[in-house]
Amino acid sequence: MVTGIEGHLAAGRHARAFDLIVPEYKDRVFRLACSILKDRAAAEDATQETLVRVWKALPGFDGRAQLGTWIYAITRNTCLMELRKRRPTVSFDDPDSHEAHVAAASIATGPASDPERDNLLRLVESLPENQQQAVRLFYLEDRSYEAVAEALGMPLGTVKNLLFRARKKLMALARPAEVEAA
Amino acid sequence: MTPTNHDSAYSDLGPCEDREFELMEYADGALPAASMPALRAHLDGCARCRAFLREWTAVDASLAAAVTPVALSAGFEDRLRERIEEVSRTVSKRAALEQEERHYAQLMQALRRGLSWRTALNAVAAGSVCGGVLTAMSSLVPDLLASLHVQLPALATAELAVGAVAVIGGFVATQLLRRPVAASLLG
Repeated sequence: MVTGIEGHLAAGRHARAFDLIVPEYKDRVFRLACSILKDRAAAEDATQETLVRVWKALPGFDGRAQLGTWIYAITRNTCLMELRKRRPTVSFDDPDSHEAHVAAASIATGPASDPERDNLLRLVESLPENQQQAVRLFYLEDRSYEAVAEALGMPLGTVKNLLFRARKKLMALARPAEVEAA
Repeated sequence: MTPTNHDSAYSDLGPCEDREFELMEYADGALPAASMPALRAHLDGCARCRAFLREWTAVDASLAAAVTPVALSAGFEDRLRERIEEVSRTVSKRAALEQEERHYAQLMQALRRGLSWRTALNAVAAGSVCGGVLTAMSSLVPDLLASLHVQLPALATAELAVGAVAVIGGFVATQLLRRPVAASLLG
């Protein structure tokens, strides 16, 4: 008997498949939600909402897409709905978000007062939204291009370009501050 | 000139234009193995690219330190299970209600289709019953009819028989349809 997630799904054992999906995907879903929502508490709510939606939709999953791709798509939609509740006209490419600046600090758990880190995070916040998400997720996913590409639903080349442009810009923005400090 | 100033001078110049992307991949440990020897040879001879790589690595390390790992809070899976049980109960109730509503709609549709036929048949049955009763009465209680000022033509025995058959037939039809005549006529 095939005991993996796909095996259970193929056999119609959706409850059993879901029992395996939760431990495998909950942290990845959470990291993606963190990179989009920039707020830990909201990301955890979105993670729960995503997994409930997965549970509801699992009987209809036809296997045309990869399971991970499907779950990440649900995650992105759930996060977008949450963003739209905060700002009705928001999209993933919205570069300007006051809530982002306010909530940014809750995403990391570093030292209480670290000006250099805070400054760098503020610089990240100044990037276009898609570059911000790519940068955050890249470091949350331990520098894996493939993990970021799968989570954001983008080709690998696109992710590499986003990360390249984002970090090159950050390098240029950070340089004047370093010169002043020196 | 201190090494730091020397490096920053080359940093200001930037790397060789066609090497930037490769340097990023190299720093991220994602450069294809086939490209490695050529890039290393280039780095050995290019101070600009070496400076760029050092700066890039420093920014990368700062970002990695700033974006610290996140974890779900304790008890997340328990809360998730509770939520799913709650949703499951709601879904079951809703599904049962929807099934009842569909069944009711199907029943009403069938009733409307059948009602027109049954109404017609019941009307015929009712007419037969009334006709039969009047026929019987005209023969059996002529005085009563006379007193009620109801006048009917004289009827022969054959008509009496027809009237009796109509009464019995109407009664049987009504019973077969299992519906009160009055209720079906009223629709």
